[in-house]
Amino acid sequence: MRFFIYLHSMLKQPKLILLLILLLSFNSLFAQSQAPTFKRNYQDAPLPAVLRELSGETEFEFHFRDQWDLAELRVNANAGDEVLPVLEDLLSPIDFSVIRYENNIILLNQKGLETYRYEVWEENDPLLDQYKIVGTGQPDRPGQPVTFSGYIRDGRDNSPLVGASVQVEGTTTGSITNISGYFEFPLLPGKYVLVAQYAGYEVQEVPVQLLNTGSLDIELFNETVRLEEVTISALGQTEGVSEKVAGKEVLGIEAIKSLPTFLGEVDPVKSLISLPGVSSVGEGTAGYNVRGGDPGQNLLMQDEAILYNSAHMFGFFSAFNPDLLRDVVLYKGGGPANYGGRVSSVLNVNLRNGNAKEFQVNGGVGLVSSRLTVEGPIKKEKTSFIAGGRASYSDWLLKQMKDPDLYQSSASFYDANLKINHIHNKKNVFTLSTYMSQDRFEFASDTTYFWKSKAATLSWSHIFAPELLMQTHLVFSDYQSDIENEQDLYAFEYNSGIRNYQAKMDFSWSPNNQHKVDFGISSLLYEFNSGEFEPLKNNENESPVTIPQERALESAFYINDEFSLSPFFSIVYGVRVSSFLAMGGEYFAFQEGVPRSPETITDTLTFGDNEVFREQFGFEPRVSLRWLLNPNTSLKASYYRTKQYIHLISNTTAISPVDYWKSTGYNLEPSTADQYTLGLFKNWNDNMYEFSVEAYYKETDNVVDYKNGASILLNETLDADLLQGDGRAYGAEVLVRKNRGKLTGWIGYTYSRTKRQFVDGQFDEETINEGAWYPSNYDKPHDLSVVLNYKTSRRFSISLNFSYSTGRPITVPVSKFQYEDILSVLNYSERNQFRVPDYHRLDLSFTLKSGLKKDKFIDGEWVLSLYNVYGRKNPYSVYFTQRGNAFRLSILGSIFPSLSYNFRI
Amino acid sequence: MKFIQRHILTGLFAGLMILSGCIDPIEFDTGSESRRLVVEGLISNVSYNERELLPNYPERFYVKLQWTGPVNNERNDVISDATVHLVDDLGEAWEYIWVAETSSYLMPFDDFKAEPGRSYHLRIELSDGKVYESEEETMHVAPSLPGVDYSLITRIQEINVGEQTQFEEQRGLVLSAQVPEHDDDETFYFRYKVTPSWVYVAPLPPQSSPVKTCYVTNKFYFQKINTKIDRTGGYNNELFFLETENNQRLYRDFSAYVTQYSLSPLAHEFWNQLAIQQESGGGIFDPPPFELFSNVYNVEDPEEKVSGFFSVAHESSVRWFINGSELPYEIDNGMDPCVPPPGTPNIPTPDCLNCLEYRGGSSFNTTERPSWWRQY
Repeated sequence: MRFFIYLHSMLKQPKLILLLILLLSFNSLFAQSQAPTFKRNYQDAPLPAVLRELSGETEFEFHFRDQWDLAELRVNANAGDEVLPVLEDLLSPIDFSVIRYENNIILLNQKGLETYRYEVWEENDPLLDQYKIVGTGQPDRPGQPVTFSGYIRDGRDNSPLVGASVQVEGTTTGSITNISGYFEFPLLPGKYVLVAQYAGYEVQEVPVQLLNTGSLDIELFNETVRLEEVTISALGQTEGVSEKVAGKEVLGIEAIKSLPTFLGEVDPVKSLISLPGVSSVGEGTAGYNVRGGDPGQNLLMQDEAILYNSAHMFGFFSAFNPDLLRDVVLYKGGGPANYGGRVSSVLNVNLRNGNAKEFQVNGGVGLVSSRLTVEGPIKKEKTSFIAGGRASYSDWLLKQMKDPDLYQSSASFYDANLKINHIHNKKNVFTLSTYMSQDRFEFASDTTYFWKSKAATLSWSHIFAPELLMQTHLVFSDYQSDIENEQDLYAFEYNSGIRNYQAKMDFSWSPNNQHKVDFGISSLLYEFNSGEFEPLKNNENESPVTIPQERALESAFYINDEFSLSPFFSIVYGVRVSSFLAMGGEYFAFQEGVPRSPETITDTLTFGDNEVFREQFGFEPRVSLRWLLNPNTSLKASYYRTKQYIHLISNTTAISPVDYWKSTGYNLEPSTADQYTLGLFKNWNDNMYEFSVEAYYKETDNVVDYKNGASILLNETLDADLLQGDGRAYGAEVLVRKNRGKLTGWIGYTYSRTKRQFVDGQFDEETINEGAWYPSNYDKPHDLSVVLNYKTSRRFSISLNFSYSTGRPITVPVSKFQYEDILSVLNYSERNQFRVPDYHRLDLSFTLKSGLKKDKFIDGEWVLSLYNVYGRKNPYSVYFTQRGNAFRLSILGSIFPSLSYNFRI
Repeated sequence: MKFIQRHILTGLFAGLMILSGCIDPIEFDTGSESRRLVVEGLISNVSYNERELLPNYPERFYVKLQWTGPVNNERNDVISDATVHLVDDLGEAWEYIWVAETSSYLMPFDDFKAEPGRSYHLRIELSDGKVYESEEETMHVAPSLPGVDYSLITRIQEINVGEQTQFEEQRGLVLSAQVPEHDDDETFYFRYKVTPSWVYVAPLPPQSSPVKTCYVTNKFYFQKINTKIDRTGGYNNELFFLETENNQRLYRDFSAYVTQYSLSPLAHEFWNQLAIQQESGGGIFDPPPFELFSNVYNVEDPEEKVSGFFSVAHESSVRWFINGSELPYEIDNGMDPCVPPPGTPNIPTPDCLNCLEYRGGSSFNTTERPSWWRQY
């Protein structure tokens, strides 16, 4: 059998080629012998002669080239001396080196090559020509690992893939890309197969020969681009195990698209709800709940801009255009220290960049809405754009209703995105991402509701050095809710909203292979509009009401370190130090010793727009530990503290457009949450199967609730009606997933409880349920999701989604009585002591893709969705008549089929 | 503002029904809920003897005791065998007497009235020996109700024709109570009770018939609970809207007896919460429903849940009249339901022949003209 020493450097080092010719064939199956020794004494003997003599006298073969003129080097040695030290002493001053390989002693006209990890393999290795060479020259520290780095990008638009993993096949060595798509990790020089992967993208295996510190850029391709297998995966296939941050979920767009949809609308938020630990009140409600938290405790960002509304049309449609989505990252808990401001979760919706190489059009035609996306280069490979829009034409649905009010009603929405990405040079990238959306719902031709969002982010990514990156963002977000009534005598306009301006700088520094330090600062200016009411036309019954505007400045500094103590043990720890300056608005001082009410107000305090009347600080430590028991099994534990300074004022179970945001200030305290988690993650069968179980316990203080009967709308003395108490949530989330094969999907089960206690008040009217712990509105102990995708062929697939959850808590009338002239006064149970019927639903979808030919003009797919297959009448709302009779309203009480067509040109 | 709030939320709710909503009755198993005692009682500064001189049917102070019933039951069980005492802070006690006709315990002492500065509580002993007491209540003396005013307005009314909801302009009037101006920095907690009465004339009997003209009182006509917290006075507080067109109550003469109760802050809050609760439906766009509090408790087991409230009020009243001739516009009497349409056999309804058969006034109906009814 013939063996080779494969020195890849020959490709770049012509001098060595000659030497290698000498080495191309020899038998290497010698047993490793002792070190060579001189057989006799030498004095001032020329080196080439000595080496030739040694080749004959010893079992060692000495390789060198005559033209190197080594004769000038003279050997002085005694019999029995070791040859190698003498050679090294001679050769080192002239920058030559010596390699011993088996029984060969090779002299090289370069320094440092002695640390190469030489390997031998069969001549007919099919990968032989595919190895990519990384690094040049010789490592500074022989025998030590060098730094292997690079970028992982979307092969279509060159955008960096954040959180993609690169790993040495068959080992736990590897890394995850940072916000610039950059990765870096230590590796001994040698030959490897690297596995690069990212959710929703094809896995790439890259054979690499690592010579020295160097970099390699890897391009991954979205799976649909090549019409390959779709992988349903919340994380990259091994990331569940290897991910260092506990509670992180990543959904690639393909996973999101593979779920059955309602009316053909791809919805990332609904996809998240199918994962353990995330739930919603039900269909037709905006917002989502993470580990028992309120919808107002979730930080929602699209390209770094905070959004305050995640849905269109009462939650039936997502606020995000699926054609622009790259991925969705959810942190159940605080996430790393660079995120803050909400106590429940962080959801990052990342949009992709436009195709920098060629123009492309995507679109979809659905029953209710259609969408179109155009993208392409502005300057090829440098500047790209992507513009997308969606608009609904759903009035036909209303016209089907027999109710004349609804016949006269109309509902519509649109949203539009524009993102421009400019690669100025290798070190500077600029991005502008803008978004606007509007919902319009007109009821019975007189009252019109508007929900409007606007957001813009200007980003500058700068690479100081491969180990130090910076991202600067300037962000604007605005959310408005308007209600207009056109009726002459009742005409009015009402609006509320929140606007923020943000500047933030994030740095990522990888000083060495063990640490990745993220740090940064941010400052966020809020302007709150808690309600403005203006009568119009001939409405003389009402007077204008304006709740004075509040402002606030929330700033933070954070530092976070991903510290790999060993390949098996990593710790991500950090702290966020936040400050909150409350400015403006009108507040009330209340009499001591009596319940707060408008009557016990002793003073009204009015502050100017820029007048700071309260400063608050927060210290928010976070730590997440990962212990890799073996490459396929890890244990994770985490602790997060997060602080929330603004509160969503909403005293209804479902988020409604009349809810608004309010600053903590004079009478309202910030919420603080402490979350502890412990989880076990296991993959097996080459990551085909995944299992995880994660338990959490969370305590939140100063959660907001309201006194009995409080009205939040245009309540000028809302301070008197606010209560603050404690929240407690705990649970266990179990997930079993199959990542590959014809059948993919997951089964997720969550047992969770979320409870509240309002005991702080010294008066009965300032406690709820007499100070006992009671289930919060979102307490659903059992939650089961089954998501399956079966590919019968490369073109045809069937998806199934089944979800079950315990009915949410409700307060019901338990008895009634007559009082004075009132025939029926209801006695309600204590809050949330009963439950609405359990929720369960089965959806199916069938996807037929067009042919697999890669270069055809149009790529298309038909998606037939059947929502609520067995027509379960799940309760949307349960309400009571004055006599206490209960009724269940089911808004989707039958099967809802839909057909949509998606295309790409 | 409540109108706006209701309007907004109604719209939302209806919006959600767009997606082929279906509504089914649903039951909750509240069977384990034990019945509760309900106590309703009020005393004031106006004795029975003084009430007899007022322009209203005199009523005695009463205490009504009943058990709560399941939500699907119409009538609740009334408790008739309890012993009920009113006790003041000096230890003086007055016993109420059970009167079956009114299904309540009445204060038999004609001159009894609550005195300012005294505090009172109820003591109730049920036949099973359980004793309940109310918290102490005192009277909060307030300026008397000076009078009422009305203003003519036109409003948009939702009307249901078949299954359709339509909007139409509706002429009517708004009656409001004058809140007397005061600068004493006092806060008053008012509740207004409106008892409407009107004259009903049966069309068919001759003028001389004893059942031709009736004086009808229907305390259920205005169900709205009116509460008001006042710090300054000097304004009017709206009480109700009375439609003037196609409203037969106004054809002859219409009257409202408006009583202003000045309550303790806690009693006011009880009524306020009752009002909020009456408007709430428990849906997902409604604030969470809640349990009304009570100031009555079981002496031996204060944790036992009791409903209702005992209050001591300072009351003052005004009677107000109006009829169609006082309006600046002609009102349409509509079609007389007792006149047979031409060419068709017609059997008149009983109230066409006998005013006592009038069903529009379910609480009190008499042919005897009250002494306080004006000439109209």
